[in-house]
Amino acid sequence: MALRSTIYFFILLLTASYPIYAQINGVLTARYVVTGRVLHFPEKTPFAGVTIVARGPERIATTTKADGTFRLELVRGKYSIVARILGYFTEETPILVPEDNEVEFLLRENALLLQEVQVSETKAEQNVSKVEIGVAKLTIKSIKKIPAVLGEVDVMRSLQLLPGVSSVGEGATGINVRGGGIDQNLILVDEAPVYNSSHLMGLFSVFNPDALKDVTFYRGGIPAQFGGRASSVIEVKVKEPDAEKWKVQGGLGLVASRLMVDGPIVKNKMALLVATRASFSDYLFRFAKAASLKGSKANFYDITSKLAIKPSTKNQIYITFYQGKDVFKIAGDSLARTEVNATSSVFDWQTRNLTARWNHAFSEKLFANLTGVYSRYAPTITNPDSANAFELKSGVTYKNLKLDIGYVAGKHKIDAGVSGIRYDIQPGDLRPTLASSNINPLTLQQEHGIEAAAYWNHEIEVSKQLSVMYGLRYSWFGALGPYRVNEYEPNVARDVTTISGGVTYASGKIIKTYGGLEPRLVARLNVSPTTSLKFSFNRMYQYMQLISNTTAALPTDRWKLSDAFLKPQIGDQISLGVFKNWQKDTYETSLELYYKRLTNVADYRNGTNLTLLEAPETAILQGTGRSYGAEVLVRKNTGFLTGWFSYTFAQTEYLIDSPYPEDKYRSGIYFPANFNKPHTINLVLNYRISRRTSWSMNWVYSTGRPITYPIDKYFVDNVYVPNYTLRNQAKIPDYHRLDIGLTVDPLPTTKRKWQSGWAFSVYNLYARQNAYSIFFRTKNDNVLQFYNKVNAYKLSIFGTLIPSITYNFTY
Amino acid sequence: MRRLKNTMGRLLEIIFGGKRLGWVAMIAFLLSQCVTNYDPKITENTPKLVVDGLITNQPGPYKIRLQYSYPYTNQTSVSAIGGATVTISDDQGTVEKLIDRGQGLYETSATGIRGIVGRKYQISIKTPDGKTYVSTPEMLKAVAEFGKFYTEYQEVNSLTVKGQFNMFLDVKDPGTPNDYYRWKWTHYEQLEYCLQTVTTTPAGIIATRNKCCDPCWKIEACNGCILLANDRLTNGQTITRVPLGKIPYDDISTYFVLLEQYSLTQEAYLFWKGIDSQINNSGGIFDLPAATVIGNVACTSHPEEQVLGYFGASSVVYKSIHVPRNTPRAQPYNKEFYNWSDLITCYRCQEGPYRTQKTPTGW
Repeated sequence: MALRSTIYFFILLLTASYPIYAQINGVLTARYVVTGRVLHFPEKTPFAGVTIVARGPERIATTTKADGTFRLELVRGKYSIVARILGYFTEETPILVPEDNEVEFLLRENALLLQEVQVSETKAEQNVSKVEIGVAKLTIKSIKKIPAVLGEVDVMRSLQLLPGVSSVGEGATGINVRGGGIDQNLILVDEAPVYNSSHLMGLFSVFNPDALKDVTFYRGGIPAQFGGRASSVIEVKVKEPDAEKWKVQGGLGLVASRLMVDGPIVKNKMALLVATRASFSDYLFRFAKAASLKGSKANFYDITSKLAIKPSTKNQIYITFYQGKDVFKIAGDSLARTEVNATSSVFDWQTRNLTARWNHAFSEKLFANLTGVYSRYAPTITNPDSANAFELKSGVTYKNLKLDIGYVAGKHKIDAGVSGIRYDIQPGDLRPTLASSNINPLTLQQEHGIEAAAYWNHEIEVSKQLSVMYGLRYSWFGALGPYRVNEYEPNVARDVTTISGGVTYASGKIIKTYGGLEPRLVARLNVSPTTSLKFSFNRMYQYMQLISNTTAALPTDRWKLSDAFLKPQIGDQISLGVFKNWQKDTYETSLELYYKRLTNVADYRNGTNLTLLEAPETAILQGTGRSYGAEVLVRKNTGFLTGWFSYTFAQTEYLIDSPYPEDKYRSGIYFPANFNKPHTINLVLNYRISRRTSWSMNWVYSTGRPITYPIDKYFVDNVYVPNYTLRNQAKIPDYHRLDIGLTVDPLPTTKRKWQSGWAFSVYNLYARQNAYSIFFRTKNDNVLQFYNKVNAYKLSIFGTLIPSITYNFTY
Repeated sequence: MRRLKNTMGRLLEIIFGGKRLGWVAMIAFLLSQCVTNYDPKITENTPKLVVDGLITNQPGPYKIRLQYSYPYTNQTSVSAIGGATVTISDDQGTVEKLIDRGQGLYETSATGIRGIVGRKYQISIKTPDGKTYVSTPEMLKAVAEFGKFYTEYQEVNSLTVKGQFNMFLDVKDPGTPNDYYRWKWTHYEQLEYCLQTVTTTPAGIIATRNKCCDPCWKIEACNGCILLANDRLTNGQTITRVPLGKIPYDDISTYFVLLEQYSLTQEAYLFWKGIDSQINNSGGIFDLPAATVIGNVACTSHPEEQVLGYFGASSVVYKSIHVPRNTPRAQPYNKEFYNWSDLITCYRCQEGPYRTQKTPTGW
C-alpha cells in the first residue's frame, strides 16, 4: 500500500507540468494538472477534507486528501482556486493554466466564526474509539457559543453544563465534580496551578477566552501524568501565538473588555501573544438598591501572555505568564471575618503564574518536555479605618520542576516522568497599618512542604477490539520545618485548652511524610465499530486543601498542607461506560456509571472561626465521603442543529466522626454534601440560521441543594432561636433556568481587515427566582421580639433575566 | 477608520447609557438580589428542655427560666415547666434551692446567694417527670471597666425619621488574654399618658388619652441584638467602635439608655456567637452552615436527650447615658397624627416587660 502511493505520487510529480489529453465530445482537449496542498495555519500540518473549487472556463471541485494534497485537471485559461471549509477563512488564489501548476493554501481558523461542526482534530467517532472515559474536551469555539452571563464567555460555567459537574449555586466559586470538593480539582493553565478560578467573587472565571486554545476536563480515567488533587483535572491550554502575521482581537462587554495582540517577533521562529482583560463594573453598583452595596467596588484585570520560540524543528520553547488581580470592597463589615469592627473591608486576591517549557524531539517517536512552573496566589483583607486599620495577608507559593518523556510508536503510547514540587504557605499575617491602630500584629506559622512524584502511563492497542491505558504514579509528600507542632493531652479532643506542649522542628527538617501508589487504568473494548465498553479506575492523592466552612468559599480562605495532624485526601473512583454512535456519527450517546470513595475529606467543628486560627487541628475534622451516579449523554455533532442533552443522577454523602460535644448530633451519620443535587438535566442547543448568524440556548434543571431546616425553636434571653439538628436533611426548591444567545459573526469571506461581530444573550429568560438558599430569621428591627414569628425566606441571587451584549472584533 | 470610530462611539453610547436603555437598569437586579417569603412545611418536633439563666456579681434575686421548645411556626406562648426542683451551687459549697414563681420562672431569694468573681457556679434541675439535669461549672470572670461611649449622627432616607444616632463604645481591654464581652442596652422613656384610645366613627376619628396614675416608664430593649466582642486580636489594646445600636431621631428630647457590660467565659461567648449566627443568618453564600448551638446543660438521667440553653455567670457593670438629640439640625417629623383630647381619669402603670413604675438606675 505504501509503495503504491509512493509510485502514484511519483507519477503525479512527473505529470505535473505536462498536459494530458482527454477526449470530450469527440474533441481532443489538452488538460493540465494543477496540484496543491492545504495546510493548517500556523502549525502547517496537512488539512484534509477541504473543498477546492476551480472557477474559470470550467468549474471543477474536489477535496483534499489525508495529507492535505489535491489534484485538478483543468483546460487552459484563467482560474480562481478557492479553498473552503467551515470554521476557517476561505482563501482564494488566481492562477493561469498551464503556466501556474502548483498552489498552496494556509487556512486560518476563523476565531469569530463560531461554528458548530467540529472540523478540528477531535473526530466524532473518537467518542467510541478513544481510550478515555469521563473526559470532555471543549474547544474555545464551542464554549463561546454557550449563552454567557453578562456577556462574558466563561470556561467554568461551560463545564457546569457537562454531566457530573455541580456547584453550590450561582455566584459561588468553584465546581464540584462527581462528589468532590471545590479544592479537589486540579486546574492547570499551561501546567501552572490556579487556586482560585474566579473573578468578582465567583461571577466569572479567570480565563480570558480569547487567549485559550482548548480545555480538557477529566472527571474519570485520569492519566498518571496528573496528580495532586483527588477528584478531577481541568487542563486549560493557552493558544499558540501566530508565527506568521500580527493580529489584534478584542471585545467590549458590559462588565469586562478584552484585547489580544499576537504575532511574530521573528517570522516563523519567535512569536508572542499578549491578551488582557479588565473590568469597569464599578458603575453597576450605582444601580444597586441595597444600602449594603452602596460604596462597594469590584474590579479585576488579567493578563495572559505566551512566548513561543522555535529555534529548530526539534526544539520549541514556550513561556506562559498569567497575572490576575481582583479588588472587592464591601461597605460595612458584612464579610469581616477578623472579629474587628470596620466600616468597610477590602478583599483583594492576585494570581501570578509563570511556566517555562522546553520541548525537544529526539526523533519522530521520542520527545521530552522539561517544565518549570512558578505560581503564587496571594489574597489580602484590608481595613482602612484608622482605629482598627489592618492588613491581613496570606499566600501560597508553588514551584515545580518536571520532566516528561513521551514515546509514540504504532500501537504504543508511553508517557513517563518525574516531578518535584515545593510549597510555601503563609496562612495569615495580620499587621496594623497605622500607628493609631488598636490591632495587635499576629503572624501564623508558615507551612512548607515538598511533593515528589514519578509516573509511567502506557496506552496500548492489545487487539483491534481491546485497548488499554494503564499507569502508575507514586507520590510522596513531606511537611517541612521550621514549624512548631503542638502536642495534646492524650484521650481528649484536641482543643486550645488541651495543648500540653510542642515540638519545634528546624528549617528543612521533616515533620511528617505521606505517600502512596496511585494506580490508573482505562480499558476500552469495541463491541462493534460504533459501540464500545469502557472501564476505568483511578486513585489520586491530595496533599493540600482549602480550609473553608461556609457554603461557598471565599477567595481569602486558607490553603493548608497536610501536616502532623491533617492527613492527605485520597480519591478512589471506578467507572464503567457504554458508548455508541448512530447515523454515521451524527449522534453520540453514552452512559457512564461511577462510584467514588473519598478518604480524609475535611469538615469543621461547629461554629469555629477559621480566620487566623493558630492551631487549625483543633477545628478540622476528617472523615470519609462516598459518591455514586449515572450520567447519560446524547450529543449531535453535525448539521445545522447541534448540541447535547445530559441527565445525571448523583449522590454524595459524607461521614464525619467528631470528638467535640458541639457536633454530637451529626457525628457518625452520613449526611448529604452541600452540593448534593441528585437529578440534573442539561440541554444545550445551537442552531445555525445563516452563514453569519446562529441561535443558541441552554436549559438546566437540578434538584435543589440540601439545607438544614430547624426542627423547632426556643426562647432564650428574649430571643427566639431556631434549633437545627441533623445536617442537610431537607432541600431547597428545584432549580431551572433557560438562557438564549444570538451570535452574529463577521462575514467569513470578507476581505476587510477590520471584522466585527456581536453576541447577544439573555440569562434566565423566564426570570425564575431560583432559590440560592432558604434561611430562617426571627430578628426584626421593627417588632418587639416577643411577638415575633420565625419566618422562612428564600434568597435568589439572579432573581431576574439578565440581558447582555458583547461586541467582538479582529484586525 | 472613521467607520470604526462611529461604531465605537455608538457602542459606548449604548453601554454607558447615552440612550438610556432598560437593560442597564436591569443589571441592578443582579446586585440587589431578591429575598421572598417561603414555606418549607416543617412538622417534626419533640419538645426539649430550654434553660435560660444567669448569675452575676450584682445582688439577686437571680432568675432561671425553664421552658420547652416548640414547633418553629408556632406563635402561641411559651410552654413553661413548673414544679421542678432547681438549685444553684458554687465550688465553695454554697447551695441554694430556688423558689418556684410559676410560669417556669424560678428565683433565688433576695438575701440569698450572690455571685463572687473567681468562683464557679452550676445549676441542678429535677423536673416533675423525674429527669435530672446539671450544667457544667461556669467561672464568674471579672469584667473590664466601662469605656468611652459616643454617638454619630447619620441621615436616613425614610418617611418616619430623618436620621439616627449610631451608638458606639470603645473599651480598654485588660492585658489578660481570652477576655470576652457582651453588652445589652435598655431605653427608658417616661410616659405622661398610660392609655391612648383611637376610635373610628362615622363622624371621624376620636382620639382620647388618660394620664398615668403613677410615674411610669416605657421600656425598649434591643431584643435580638447579641452584642459580643473578644480580645483575640486586640489584647491589652482598646476595642474600638463596638456598634451598639441606633437611636431614632424622632424627637428632640434627651434619649436615655442604660447600658450593661457583661464578662463571659469562652464557652458562653461561643454559645452566644452561635445564637447570633443562627438568628442573623442572611442566607448569603458566605454564611456558616446552620447547626445546633450546644449549651452547657446536660441531662444526667438520659444522656442522649438534647438540652438547649445556657446557665451563665457574669460580672456586670452598668452605665446610664443621656444622649442629647436637641442639636441644631432639621426638626424631626411630627410624631403626633391625632388631635388628642385628655380624659380626667388616670390609667394605672402596669408592671411588665414593656412598662415599669420603678425609676431606672441612673435616671
